[in-house]
Amino acid sequence: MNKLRALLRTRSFYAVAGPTAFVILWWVLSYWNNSAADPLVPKLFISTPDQVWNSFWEQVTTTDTGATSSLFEAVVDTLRRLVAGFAIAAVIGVPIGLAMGYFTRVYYSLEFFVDFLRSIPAAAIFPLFILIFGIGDPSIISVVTYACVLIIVVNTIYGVRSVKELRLMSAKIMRLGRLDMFRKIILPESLPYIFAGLRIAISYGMVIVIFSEMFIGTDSGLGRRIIDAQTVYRISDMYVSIVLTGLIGYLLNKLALLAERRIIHWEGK
Amino acid sequence: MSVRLDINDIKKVYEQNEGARSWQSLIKKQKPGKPFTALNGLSVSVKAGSFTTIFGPNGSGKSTLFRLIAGLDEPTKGSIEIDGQSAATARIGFVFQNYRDSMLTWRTAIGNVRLALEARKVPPADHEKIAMNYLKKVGMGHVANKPFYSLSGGQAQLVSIARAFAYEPDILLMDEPFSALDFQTSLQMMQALLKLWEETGITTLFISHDIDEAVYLADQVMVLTKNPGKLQKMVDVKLPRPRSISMLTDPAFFKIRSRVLKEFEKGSK
Repeated sequence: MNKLRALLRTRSFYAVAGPTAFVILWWVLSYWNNSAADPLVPKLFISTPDQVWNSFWEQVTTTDTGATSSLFEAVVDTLRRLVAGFAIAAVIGVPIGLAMGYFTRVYYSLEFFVDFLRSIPAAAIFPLFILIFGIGDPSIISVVTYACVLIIVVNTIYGVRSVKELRLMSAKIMRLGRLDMFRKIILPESLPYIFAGLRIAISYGMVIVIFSEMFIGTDSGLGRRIIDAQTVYRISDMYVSIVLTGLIGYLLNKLALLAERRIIHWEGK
Repeated sequence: MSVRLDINDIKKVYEQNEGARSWQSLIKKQKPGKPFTALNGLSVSVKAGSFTTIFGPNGSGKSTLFRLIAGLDEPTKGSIEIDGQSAATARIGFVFQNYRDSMLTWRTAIGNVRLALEARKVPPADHEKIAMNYLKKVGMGHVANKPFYSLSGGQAQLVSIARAFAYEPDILLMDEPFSALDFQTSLQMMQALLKLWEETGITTLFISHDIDEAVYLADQVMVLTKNPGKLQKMVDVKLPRPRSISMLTDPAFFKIRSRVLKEFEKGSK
């Protein structure tokens, strides 16, 4: 009894209980719907968890499912585009954000462009990128970069702005050089914000990859698989790709959090 | 190698719209805000290697005086000289009340002391040894490798004192370093500070809000008037050194304390 109580107080219990409850609910509702004489939603559009699992297993074990590439290849394609687009965005976005946060003149010179571009959704810019980069990876990667870079820039600016005046003052009194000031004070103190930006960016990047794969961007990837399955009514196959997308997003976020806690060990202490 | 500090008839006026650089200021003359005079006609000479506490009502320009000595602001009138030379080239050590915002929370205790050595370009090979030496002098050798955020308030402030001494300043400025600490801790801190000061003989200025602390630490108490601040009286503290806590109940201590209080009241009127 006491052990049960202790278990009910652990976080991991609820972390497991929540998703389990969700699957059970899904199971119950989908069976109830699909076995009814007059279903609420047409049976064709609702898959039960076991149907989705069977479909997943089938896609993993059989090489020829009529699709152009395997499920595994689709995951790899999607991840490659996401990671490439995100990495480019980080490499561009962090330095721009640092410069904008640190130099008032750079900030006021670029403020318009950042806010202007932020108002243009990635969806609106995608057709242009297809024209410029052609159909395929380059246009998808560039639209991911576009979507991520602005988030990273804005968060990095906030990071530099969060640097405590007193810390800069004490460094100034000690006549720390400009470069040292940047490396030893401004950069580490901005890191929590930069990381928050990177984490939001990678989640948003996932949305953009899936979205752009669905349309004329490519013939591979999870987004492509979702739309392909949908058009031929292979609904269980569609669910497999949807669930997989969610899981990958979840894992990426966990990974980012883990890295964040390692690197920014002092935050919140 | 202690230095003498001469403050010659200093006046500091802060223009209220100083630093406002909006485009309007280019095309039309802005109404000037009411200037604020922080110091007016402060003259004082501080002996080489002495310990001076600064005691005065709010608005007497104590912090302004520190900003001027540290070279963060320029006096409107008058000059500050260190051994007869302009203070601009002097090395200044600074200890703030708010150590959480002035120290590097992401470094270890010893890493924070090392910043002072990095600032004065000591060869990196010697950093570990010198920094450890200063930490030991304030009795903080045992927390050297702990992260700064994990230190208690007293420990953190001792580390920031170690950092200030490790910078080997010509003048050490301390702005109410102990006022955030409890009574018992601040007693220990005073002893640690005095020991280090007696060893190094660095000319020290110490802003205090606590009259007992001000008298106990000092060779002389600089009593300032209310705003705009100038010298009310320099009260000599002729108590033997090293000081010990039992002196706080000594009649000689009380005599000096009442003299300081009397000058403080005169200056506040």
